Amino acid sequence: MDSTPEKKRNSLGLGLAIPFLLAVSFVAEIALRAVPIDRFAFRATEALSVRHVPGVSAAPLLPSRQYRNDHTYGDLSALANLRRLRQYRREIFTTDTYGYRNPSVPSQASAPVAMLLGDSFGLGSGTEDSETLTAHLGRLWGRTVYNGSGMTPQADLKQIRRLARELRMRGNLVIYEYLERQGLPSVPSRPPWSSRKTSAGAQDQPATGASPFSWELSRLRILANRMYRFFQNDRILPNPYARNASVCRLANGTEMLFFSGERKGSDASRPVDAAYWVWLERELRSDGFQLIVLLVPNKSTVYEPLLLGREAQNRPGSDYLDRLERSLSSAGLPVVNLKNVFQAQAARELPSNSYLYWLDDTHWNGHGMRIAAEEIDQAVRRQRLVAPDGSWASPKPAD
Amino acid sequence: MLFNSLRFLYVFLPLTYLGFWALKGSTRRHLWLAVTGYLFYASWNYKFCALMAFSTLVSYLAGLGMLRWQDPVRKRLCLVVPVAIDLSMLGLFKYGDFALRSFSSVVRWWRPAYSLPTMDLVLPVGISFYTFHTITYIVDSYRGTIVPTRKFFEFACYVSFFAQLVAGPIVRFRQVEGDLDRLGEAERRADLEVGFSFFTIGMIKKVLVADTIAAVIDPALANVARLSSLDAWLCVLGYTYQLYFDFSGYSDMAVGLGRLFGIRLPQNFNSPYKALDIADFWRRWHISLSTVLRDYLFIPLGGISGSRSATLRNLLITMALGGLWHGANWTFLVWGCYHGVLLVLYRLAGKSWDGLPVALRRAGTFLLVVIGWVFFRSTSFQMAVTLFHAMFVWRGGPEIAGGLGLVVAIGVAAIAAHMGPNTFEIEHRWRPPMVFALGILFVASLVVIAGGRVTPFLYFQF
Repeated sequence: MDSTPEKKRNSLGLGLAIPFLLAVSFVAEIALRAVPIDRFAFRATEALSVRHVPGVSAAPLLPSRQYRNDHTYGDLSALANLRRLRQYRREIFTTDTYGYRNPSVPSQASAPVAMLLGDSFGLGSGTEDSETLTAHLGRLWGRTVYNGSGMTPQADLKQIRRLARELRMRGNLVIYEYLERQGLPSVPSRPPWSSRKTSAGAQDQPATGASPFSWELSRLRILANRMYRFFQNDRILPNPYARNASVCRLANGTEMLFFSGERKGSDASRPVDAAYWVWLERELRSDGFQLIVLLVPNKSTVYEPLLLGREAQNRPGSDYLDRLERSLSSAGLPVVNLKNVFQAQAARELPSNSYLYWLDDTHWNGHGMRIAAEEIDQAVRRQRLVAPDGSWASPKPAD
Repeated sequence: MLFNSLRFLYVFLPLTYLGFWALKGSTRRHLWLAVTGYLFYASWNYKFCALMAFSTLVSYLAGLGMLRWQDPVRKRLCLVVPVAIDLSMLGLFKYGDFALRSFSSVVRWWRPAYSLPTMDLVLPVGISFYTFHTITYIVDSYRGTIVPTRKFFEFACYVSFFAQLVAGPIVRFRQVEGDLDRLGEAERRADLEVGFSFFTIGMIKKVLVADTIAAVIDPALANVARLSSLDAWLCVLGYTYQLYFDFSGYSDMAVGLGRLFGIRLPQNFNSPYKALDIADFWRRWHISLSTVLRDYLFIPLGGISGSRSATLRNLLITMALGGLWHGANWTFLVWGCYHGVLLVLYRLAGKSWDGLPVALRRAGTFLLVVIGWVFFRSTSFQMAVTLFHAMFVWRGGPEIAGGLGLVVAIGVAAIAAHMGPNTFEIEHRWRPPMVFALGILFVASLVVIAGGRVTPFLYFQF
């Protein structure tokens, strides 16, 4: 096995090749960091995600960035590795200096009239900046609506308060977007909102991005993952995520992907509790804000009744959002439940192949967000959250 | 930090390598390898470094004691105290909770509500390996097989050398003593080719073969009740090759890393699936463990020197404890006993077995080993029974996801394991086309590491 060193020095062997390959790949890893991540990531949330460091930053995304991709596609088709079901589209996703999805920070002269809190639905994942819920609301109201959605359903009140102060918002509207499949948010045991010390806390620092050397932003990792995923097709290698997506056929013959976790039978026993929103409304009201809760149905809730065959007929409809709406209304909270509106709209538009959600994604599309914006607008006017002269109403007096 | 992680490949290995060869003299190099070994170990849990340091210090002092004192009582004390400490550590961390749970289970037979609280101790990575390093060192010193070293850093380097720290091979001091003594004179280029060749082959075995098989069979075995008979056999066969390519791949990487630092680690696998009988299998499988069990357990128990029944008893005890060494679970004990029984049967009827055609002996031995792996892989008796039922009572069922990849991987693994040479039979002097091919496979491994899931080596859990 052993050979003399003299012989080895003369040969181009693994002793040279392996360190060389390691060095080349390492240099490539470093060099590729200089290339914008947009060229590697398939959607904005992959490119702009921030690894959260508690106490350092609560920003959901890398600040002051614009992600552009003319061929983005849905999270479910990516998850299930279903290339044939990809629905290619353009995504233009801009973040402001605070790390939220807004084309720019509103100027001092035009303080936002409303702030949206929410998850990836609020962010408008997979759409252009002009198609988000806040963009539609802004067009309807002719005023700036700030998108304060992050990646978590539970609102960080301290961060909201900091943002509101920075944006000079007061006496305005806060829209809380709640997705059906999310768990119920719970009232914090020690509300951070109650603390008035805001200037020195770590979380009040401006949002900071992930380290440029973080593994999450490695272009080589993304490329390698693409290559590896190519083989995870359930023939060569199992696709461990395939079970998270199910392919169903709509009554018009179109295939639609669903997040399997949404399709697990009846929601009849799922408890509803408005306690968190009651608490949030009280906290917001003390600072002059009016809360309105937006209930967004799962894609399956909207489209399962429109599926082809027995699958649709045998599955009980979800009444979770209806029960939650009643609970919120009885607590005196303004609420917009999109379930019935979306179900009716989806049924009406199915023959014309128009949809409220992307076919290959868990999220709604620009059309769905436009309908949601119109519903919010109507509710705001109906519940007189806006004064008849068009100015924004003062919050209701405390109970 | 795993050998198959980018942190190891891009940061730890280059820095450790460059630092090592920049230093001159044995003591500095011993110190460097000891320190880097602790850093490597700390990457899992720095708190357990103290445990390893304590074990190292106690054994080192015991060795010094044996050098100083020649009277039997003190010398025996230098044997008993460190071995007792090592075994206590191993027993506490590895078997403490298992003993408490087992005791509770027994008592529950007549007091159903009985339950002892468990300690929920985290098993320190590699404790089964480094405690065996120190125990063999002490016993060999006591027996006079080796002269205990006076050089503390040399001993610390022997215990904590990162290449063999967490999953072996179980290296005896006498096997590396010469290399450690001459570490200051080691030449960097001497084993560069061989070292990288071992390392590359080991990584390919682990990442491309073992992990590919694991990617298919792990999800399938998670739902063992749904497996068809065909898939159950495929999974068990897959695990047979996964375990071999995983562990022998790790051992090859360890040997290769050792060579890069001037230390020749011993062979751990010698084509075990080519074995002609079960005794032959144990001369080829996890050699460093089986020889330790032979020299430090079987022979002290009496070995083959007593009556036939005593020999058979010694075999059973050795294999049962060898099974339990792999983990605190009754399935490991059963696996050990199973092999003990096979060895006993071979001892009783070996002549008849040896009279069979070679191909039949080889296939029969392989089949017996495969059946044994069912106990080894199963997390409970229920899983083992379900798996056996699926294997031996025909039933159909849906094809497992990734079946094509599994069949290809098993095919490649089978050819390599049954027909190919093992890494110690290869000359490691590659012609450019083979260097190119291995380079491509190495890059493919990097792609899997970077883009896929990085799986720990199976023997880390032991």
